[in-house]
Amino acid sequence: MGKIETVLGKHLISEIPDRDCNLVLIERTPHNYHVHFRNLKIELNEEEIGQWKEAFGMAQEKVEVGEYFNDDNV
Amino acid sequence: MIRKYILTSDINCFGFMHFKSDNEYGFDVRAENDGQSLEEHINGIKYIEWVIRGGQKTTPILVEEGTNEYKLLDGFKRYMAIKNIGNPVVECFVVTPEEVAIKKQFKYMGLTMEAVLGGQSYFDTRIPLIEGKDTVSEPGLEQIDTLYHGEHIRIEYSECFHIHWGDHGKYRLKLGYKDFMAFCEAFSEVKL
Repeated sequence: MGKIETVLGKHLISEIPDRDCNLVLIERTPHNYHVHFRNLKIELNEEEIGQWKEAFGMAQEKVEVGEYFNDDNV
Repeated sequence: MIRKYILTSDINCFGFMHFKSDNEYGFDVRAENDGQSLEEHINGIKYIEWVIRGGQKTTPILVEEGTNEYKLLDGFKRYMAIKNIGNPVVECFVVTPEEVAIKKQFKYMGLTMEAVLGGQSYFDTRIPLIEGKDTVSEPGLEQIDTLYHGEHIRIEYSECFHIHWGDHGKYRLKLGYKDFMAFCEAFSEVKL
């Protein structure tokens, strides 16, 4: 049986091998959407995933012109 | 340090702070070593059980690798809650005796953790995903910058990034800069 999830977005947090813990992975499943991060799996519906995309896009724009940082996060 | 699922039956949770007992709970506490009473432990365990039954995950517990078993270093209440619920496995950070000897540090969700018995520095985020209060009402946080406020998600910055979602923002995830940017980059790839 083939894989039923479609990867919509994927970003590595670091190159250090740590199984699947070092990435953010967004998948479409037959019924909804999954966001995987560390030990979390967040389930979102169509409407929610749309707003999350918009939210991170707008937040990123604000961050890139602001002074938000946390160098404790390695 | 490695991270893996371990059978709860392979972990020895008793030692310096907690010991086996014939009471109704099956354990008791050396409060002088632990800092918390048996009652506080029972309440904490019940709370974590409630959190897990609500579909949320807890931070992996910290164990030391041994010859025949794993020794619990931190996360007694989480361990007991998971066991009480009937889950046969628990997610663990596993450190070696050598790492404990040098108190090796490692990072988890932007926080520094140490290979020692109890008392991790991640106290306020032992359950990173909890039914939470609105960040605005949290004491100790001064300036809060709202980066996005929608019906399904709210993103704020105060010392680190706070992602709120669910009914009334009840789920909360704290992210450091790198993790936050990873979310941004991953979502920027999404085509709907």
